[in-house]
Amino acid sequence: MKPTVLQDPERRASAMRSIAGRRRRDRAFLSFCVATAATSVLVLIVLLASIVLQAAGHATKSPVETIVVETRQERKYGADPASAERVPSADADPAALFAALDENGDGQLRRRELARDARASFGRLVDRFDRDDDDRLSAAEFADAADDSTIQWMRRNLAIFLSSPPNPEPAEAGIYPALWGTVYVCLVCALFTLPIGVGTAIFLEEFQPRNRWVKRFHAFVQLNIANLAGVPSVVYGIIGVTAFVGMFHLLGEARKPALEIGVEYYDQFVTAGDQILLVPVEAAGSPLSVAREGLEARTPDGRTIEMHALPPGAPLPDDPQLLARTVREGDEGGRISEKAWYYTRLPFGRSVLAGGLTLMLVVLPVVIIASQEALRAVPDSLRTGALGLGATRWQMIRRVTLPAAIPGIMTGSIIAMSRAIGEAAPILIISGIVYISRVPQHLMDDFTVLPLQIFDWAGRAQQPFHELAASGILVLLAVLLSFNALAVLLRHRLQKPLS
Amino acid sequence: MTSPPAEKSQPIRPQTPETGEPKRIISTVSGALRRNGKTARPPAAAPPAPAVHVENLDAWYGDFQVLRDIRLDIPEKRVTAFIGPSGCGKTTFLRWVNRMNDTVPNARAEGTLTLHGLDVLSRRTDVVDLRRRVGMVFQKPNPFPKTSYENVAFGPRLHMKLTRAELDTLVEWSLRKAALWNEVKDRLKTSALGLSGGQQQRLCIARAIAVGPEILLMDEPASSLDPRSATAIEDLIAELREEYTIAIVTHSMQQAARASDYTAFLYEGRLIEFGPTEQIFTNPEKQETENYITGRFG
Repeated sequence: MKPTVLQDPERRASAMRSIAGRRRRDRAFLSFCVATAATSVLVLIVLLASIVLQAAGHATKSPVETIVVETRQERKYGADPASAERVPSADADPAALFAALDENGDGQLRRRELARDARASFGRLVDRFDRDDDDRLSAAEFADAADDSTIQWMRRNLAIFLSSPPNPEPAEAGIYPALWGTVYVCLVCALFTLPIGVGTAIFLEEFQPRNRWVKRFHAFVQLNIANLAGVPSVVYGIIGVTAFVGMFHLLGEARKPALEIGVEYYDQFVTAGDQILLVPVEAAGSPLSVAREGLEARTPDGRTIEMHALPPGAPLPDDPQLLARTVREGDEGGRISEKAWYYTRLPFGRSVLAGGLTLMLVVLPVVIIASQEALRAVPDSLRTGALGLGATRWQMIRRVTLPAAIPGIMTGSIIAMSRAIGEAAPILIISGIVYISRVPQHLMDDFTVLPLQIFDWAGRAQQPFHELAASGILVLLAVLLSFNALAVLLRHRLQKPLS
Repeated sequence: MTSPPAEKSQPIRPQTPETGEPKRIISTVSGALRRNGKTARPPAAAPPAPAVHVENLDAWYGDFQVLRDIRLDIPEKRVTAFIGPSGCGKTTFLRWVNRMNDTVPNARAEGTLTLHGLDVLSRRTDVVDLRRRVGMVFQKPNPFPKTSYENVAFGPRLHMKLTRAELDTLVEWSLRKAALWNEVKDRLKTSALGLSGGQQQRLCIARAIAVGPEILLMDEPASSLDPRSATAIEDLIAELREEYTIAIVTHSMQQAARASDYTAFLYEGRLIEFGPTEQIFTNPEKQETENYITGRFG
C-alpha cells in the first residue's frame, strides 16, 4: 500500500518543508563560508601591512637615539642612591619572609612543607640504618627501602612539579600555570580555528564560483592559503602583536583600553579595625578616592557601610563596630579591579585571547588545507546523489559531504592543534612572560605556555633548571601524545559507520 | 543532417507501428524482443500524453555543442530507452531533464524542455523542487555511507517533516517497490556499503522513488552490474513502468529491446529516430539506426 505521505495531498502539503526556507538556510551558509574565507584572506593582508609598516618604522628612524629608562626604584624613590637603600630587600630576614608566607597561608607554604617532608623521610631511613647495631639490615633491604623512598619522592616531586608555579628555587618550581595556560590558549585557538578553517575549506571546495569576481576571489584565497601555510611561525607572532595585542594602536593601550566589558573597579581601604572597605570607581583612569566621613563603601562580602573618617592624630574609638569602619581622613585608597570570567577589552593586550588568535593564524592554513583534502576525498558520486534527490547545497554538505569528510577534518585539525601546543616562538612574542604564578582567570589574563616555560628553564645556567626543562618536555610530550591519541580515537569512532 | 524548418515546429511523436509483417527482422535483438513479449505492453493505439516535451533543444559544454535540435516527447508511464554510441549526448540529455548539468561549469542549454507543463530550463524554476519530481539513478551505485534505512529516508527527510511511523512506512514501501525489502529488512540498520552491487543499485532506486517522483531517469543503471543483477534491475523497471515514467540510457541493445516501450536513437548529438521499440529494432526508418542496431558501427 502506498504510504499516506505520497498519496494524501493534504498530509503531503503539511509535511513539506518550505523551499524558500531551505534556500534561505543555503544562502546563510554560503555567506558564512564566504565570510570565513574573507577572514582568512584578511589575515594575509594584515600580515603584509603590519610587517611593512613596522619595517618602515625602523627604516625611517634616525640611527642614534638615546632611550632613558627610568627604573621602578627611581620612579618611586627618586634617582638618589642613598634613598634607594630603603627598598626592603628580600634576603634581609629569611625568618620574617617565611613568617610572611605562613601568614598568607596559601599553597606555597604547603608545597614547601611537602619538600621538607621528603627530605625528612630520607632522614628517617638513614636513622634506621644507623640505629641497627647488629647490622642485620642487609644492603638489599636498604636498597628496597631506599627504592620505596625514591618512589615516594618521585610521587611527591611530580605532585610539586605539576601543581606549583615557577620558582627561583628549582626544587620547588612547577609548571602548573604553564600547563593551564597551554590548555586555555589551545581551547581558544581551536574554537576560532575550526569554524573558520572548515568554513573556508568548504567555500573553496564545495562552492563553484560562476560570477567572475567570485571566481577571482576564489583563486586569490586558494593561492594565499597555500602561501600562508609556509610562513614561519615567528612572523605570525609579530602580526599577533600588531593586530591583537596592540590593535594597530588605534584603540589605545591595554592599560587604558578603549572598551571594557565585565570589570568593576574599586579603591580599597583598610580600616583601623582591619576591615577591608571597597569604594566603587567609574573607570580605571579616574583619580583615586580619598577617605572622608560618610563615604559609601562596600565590604568584600557585599554589605554597604558608611566610612567613618578621623583626622590624622585623633584617638581611635573603642567600639569595635565603629573601629571596623574607621579610617584616617585624607588616606588614598588602593585601586583594585574585579574581573568576571568574560572580561573583555579592546585592544586585547598580552592576553590569552591574543595568544589563542595568534596560534589560530599559525595553524589556520594547515587546518584549511587538511579539510580541503578531506572534502576532496569525498567521491563526487555522493554529491550528485544528494543533489539528484533535491538537496540544497547546504543540505548536501551537512548530511553527506561533511559526515563523510569529518574523520579527515578531525585528524588534520588535531594534528594542527598539536602543532599549536608546541609553538613557542609566536607566544614568546605575544606573552613573553614566564613567571606567572596563577592560572589565567579570564580571557584577558596574562598567561604562559609549556614551550615558553621550557625555553626559559633550558636557557638558564644552573643544571637543576635543565632537569626541570627536561621534565617540562616530558609533560609537553604527554599532552601532545594524548592529543594524538584523541585524534586516532575520534577517527576510529567516526569512521565506523562508513565501513 | 539538419532537419528542414517545417519539421522543426513538430516534435517527433512516437508513431504507432504498422500492422502486419515487419519488413525486416534484425537478428541480434529479435530474440530479446520475443522473450520480452509477455511484459512489454503493446503501444496504445494513440501515443500516451507526454510527460516530458522537448523542442529545439540545443546544449553545450563550453563551446562544444553536445545536443543539436532535439525534438521528442517522452510518453507518460512508459519506458523510453535512449541508445547511441558513446558521446552522442544521451546522458547529457538526461541530465538536462533534472538540471543536474547545473553543477557542470560552462554547461548551457537552449530550447524548450517541459515536464508536465513546467519549464525546466527556466532560470526561475527551482531545481530543488524539480529534482524532487524527477528522480535519477546513476551509472555507478552511489549509496551514501549510512545505513540502508538512512539511505532511503534521506530524500524524504530533505523535503518533508515526517513522523517516525510515517518514515518507517515510507522506507518499507520504497524498499518493497525496489524489490529489496526481503533482502535488507533484517539489516536496515547496517551500512549500505555492505550490500552487493546489484542490491546497492536497487537501494538507489528505492531512494529515488521514496520522494515520490513523477519521472525516473536512469543513466545506464545496469552497466556496472553482473548479468544477474542487471536482469533484476530490468525486472524492476518492468514493474515500475506501471506507476512511473521512466527514461533509461543504455549501451545494451538487448536491454533496450527487452525493457523499453519506446526507443530513441541519438547520434552525434542529433535525434536520428524515435519510435516504439519494436519498430526501431525490427523496422528502422533510417539507415544509421539499422547500422547501429546491427552493430555495423558505434
